[in-house]
Amino acid sequence: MRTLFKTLTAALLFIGLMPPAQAGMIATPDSSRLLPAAGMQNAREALVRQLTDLGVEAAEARARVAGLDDVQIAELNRRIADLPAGADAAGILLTVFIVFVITDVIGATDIFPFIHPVNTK
Amino acid sequence: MPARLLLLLALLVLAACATPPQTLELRRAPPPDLPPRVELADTPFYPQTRYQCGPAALATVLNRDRQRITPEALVGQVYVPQLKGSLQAEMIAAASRQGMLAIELDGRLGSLLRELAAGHPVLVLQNLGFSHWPFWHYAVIIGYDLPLQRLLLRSGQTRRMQRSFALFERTWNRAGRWALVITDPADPAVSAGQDAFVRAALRLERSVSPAGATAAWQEAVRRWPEAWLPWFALGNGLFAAGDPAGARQALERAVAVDPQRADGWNNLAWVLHRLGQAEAARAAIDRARALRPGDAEIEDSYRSIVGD
Repeated sequence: MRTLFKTLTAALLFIGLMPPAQAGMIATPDSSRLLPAAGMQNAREALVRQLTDLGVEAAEARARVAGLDDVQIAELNRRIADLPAGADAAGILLTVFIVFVITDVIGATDIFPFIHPVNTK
Repeated sequence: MPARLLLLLALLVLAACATPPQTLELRRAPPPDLPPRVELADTPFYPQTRYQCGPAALATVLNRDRQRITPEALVGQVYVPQLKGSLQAEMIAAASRQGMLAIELDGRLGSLLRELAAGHPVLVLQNLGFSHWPFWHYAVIIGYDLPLQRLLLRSGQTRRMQRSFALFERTWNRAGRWALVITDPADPAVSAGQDAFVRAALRLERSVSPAGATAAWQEAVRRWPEAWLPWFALGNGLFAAGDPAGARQALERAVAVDPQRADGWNNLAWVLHRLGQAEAARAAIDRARALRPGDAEIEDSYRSIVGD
């Protein structure tokens, strides 16, 4: 039986159908791997939940989390609400609008594309 | 006007007038090997819709050489509705899903210019507001003018935004000087550090397949021939892609660079076994066993290769 298995394995390897992991080859070490896959499962599920809480559709959340490495998962779990989320200034309130117009003009900020700072140096 | 408000304005003006350090350095010593002007005019433009500079910026770089995906399709991959924006880690993952290599740069303005000169638009995160009152924004730098000390960007609704190095550097500093170069795996960022390159190639493998990053590993071994991991990863990728002869060459280089790493010998043994070179395979797996006695995977390899 074992011989048959080995022959089949060799045949499948020959066709190139078997991925290295199954062949006993060791996968490229990923220094961003914090724990073995089983250990990271909880962390990944936690992030899927966080993303769905933030309005991401569940199936999409799962696909997105699958594409992240362990270090990214850990950081997002810890700080997702605080991390930068690139957007724009569309939601700016009128009360702060004037402040930022001034700061844009002097070149301390760059909220409004139509304002070019006086001091271009 | 109250004195405090005047003081605040005075401080702001001072802050705005002070030339940021990297701009100052570029003004003092412009890199002589860079062309004075670059504009990647054929970079596409997707005017962003509300909050969605992430998908727009991503589509801009992903579709540079051919149409791969629309900003609308990217929304589901990077946009987080209640954060009203897109997270950096997910921008990287979305690029990897398209089979593109996404390498984070080293925070130097000079590196941005170098990438542009090499034909790579650069996706950047900016904080257009203040540290304590941030307005995060993604844009794509598509060119520069060294004599005029300006950058050209695709940003928001503006196809060709000009910004002084100084203003850009201020907004970029407040965003941790984060920049991403997204390319075909065969044409990686020219200024990439080894760690950032390896991280990016591993992320690409994660999203696509071990074989999908092979072109990137081939470039990595060219740049860092004395490093173990790129040779090892290249060998694994070539094997997964059905090229055991190429895999053998790469793994032989890996064990030559670092004979102390059992993983290299283990995988070389498998490739030699696959190529029908039984004696060489046995010698290789024996080396692995000697380096890591009792290791379950290596013992398993030994049994499979040598027979029980």
